[in-house]
Amino acid sequence: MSSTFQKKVNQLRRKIGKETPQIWLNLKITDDIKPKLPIDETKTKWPKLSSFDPIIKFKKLTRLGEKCESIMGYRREEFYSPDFNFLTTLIAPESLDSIRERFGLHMKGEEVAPYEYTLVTRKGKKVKGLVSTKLMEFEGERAILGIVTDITDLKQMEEELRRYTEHLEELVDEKTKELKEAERMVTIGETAGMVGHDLRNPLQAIVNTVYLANMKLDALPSESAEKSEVKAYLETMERQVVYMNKIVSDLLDYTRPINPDTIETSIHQLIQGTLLSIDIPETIKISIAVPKKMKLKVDPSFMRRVFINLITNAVQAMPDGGKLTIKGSKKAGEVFISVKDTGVGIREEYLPKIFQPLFTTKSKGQGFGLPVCKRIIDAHGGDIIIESKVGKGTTVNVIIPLKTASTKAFVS
Amino acid sequence: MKKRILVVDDDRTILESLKSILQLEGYTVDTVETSREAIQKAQDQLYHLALLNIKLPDMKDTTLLVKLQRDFPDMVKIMLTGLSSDRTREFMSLGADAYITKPIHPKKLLKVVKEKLRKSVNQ
Repeated sequence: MSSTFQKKVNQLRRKIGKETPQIWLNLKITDDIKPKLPIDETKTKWPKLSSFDPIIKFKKLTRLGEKCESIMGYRREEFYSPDFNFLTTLIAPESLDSIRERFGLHMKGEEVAPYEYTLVTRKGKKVKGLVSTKLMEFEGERAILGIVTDITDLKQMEEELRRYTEHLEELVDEKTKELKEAERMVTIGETAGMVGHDLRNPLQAIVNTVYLANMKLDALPSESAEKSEVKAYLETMERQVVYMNKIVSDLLDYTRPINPDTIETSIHQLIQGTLLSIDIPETIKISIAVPKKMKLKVDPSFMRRVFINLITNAVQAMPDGGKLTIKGSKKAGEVFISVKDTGVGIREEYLPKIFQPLFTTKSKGQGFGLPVCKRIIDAHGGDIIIESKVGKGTTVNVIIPLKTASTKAFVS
Repeated sequence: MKKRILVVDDDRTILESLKSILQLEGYTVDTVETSREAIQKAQDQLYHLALLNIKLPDMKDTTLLVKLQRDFPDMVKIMLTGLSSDRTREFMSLGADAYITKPIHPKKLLKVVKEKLRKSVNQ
């Protein structure tokens, strides 16, 4: 980016350094409507002209600068022809009023500051001019000397610079946003590392204690309703620990670099294994259509995290039951695995945000599940695409190239 | 002969619960909270296996493993960690027999302990 910018600046510098061409116009004025004014002999003071009508008729152009012909496209003799109307031929209509106004001021004897106007060349091209004009005496008559500088390039440069500045501002805004986001992720990462470590110890203490409580219960001589009830409570606690650990792992996975260690993996087995570790209510029907022979070169532990997250999401989207369909297919060097639910669906306006960390539509969620999936799939050189309809359900398509992992995937 | 296990962790609840869990399986268990005490214990007593927490307050995280590996190469050393970064390779290259991230279900931990002890006997 910076090199493009530098190039642009150099280009502009070269342009500005170039001498700007000048057009010299020497206009002779007559006012045949009004009687001739006496011209001050000493030429130091102009008579007051305020009482005169400022409408002036220009007789003709009398002297031209050298570049007038090449810039405006008319030959010298054309310029000098008595029929040549300077105002209607050379001046763009939008500039006429301001020129008339300035000439009026000259007629009143006032000084006129340099101003900009637009000229039109023979070919109809517009030329921006900066003109300095002065009322003077020329061959015994009043005339206006105008020195016009062609500032078309300058104006263009100004415009380009303005656009470039605007673009730069946009760029800076964008980069600042990215930087802020990166900073935020670093902070989250650091916090996650600490929180993760601090949470994993008590989680270990809880699973240990639950295990010991179970052992004590098992040692009790008789079976009873109370005993199995307590066992059920303990089971719930264990499940919650697993869930808490998933939250911690998602948080950590999102913030640490992902370097997949790929190996030939049976997708069918991977999905079967994942399903076993997730608590799926009986109200949800499961259908798996993944060819048993389908193998992929992936990191099985990372891919397991992907399917744990996708299946957990699907299950949570169907609180009143439904159908979970997992399909696998091969096409054009890629493997497609879809996880489809018949759940609540995701509102369209949320779809662009679902891969952003900390975004969640669930009351029970931290917004790390899908971002983690995306990072893992990206690291495998694949893609993850979500389709959803409110009330109908959601389908997540995971696409992984058969020849995984271009080197890029490993680097990221 | 009962196998002797040394558990090193600065979290007392984990220490006590692991002790009970391992004892229920028939192991003889000693517990300590610092690296220094661990080295002292190992010099006094033969341990077949040590469960080592990675972050201990009194020494750098790899020091205890390195020292135990130098002085007691036959002892099975299992690292237990709550750290987020995966340092399996680092610790395995320093002599660890396993690298486990907390929380691990006690059943799985017992399986690892049993397996590693069996392997060390067979060697």
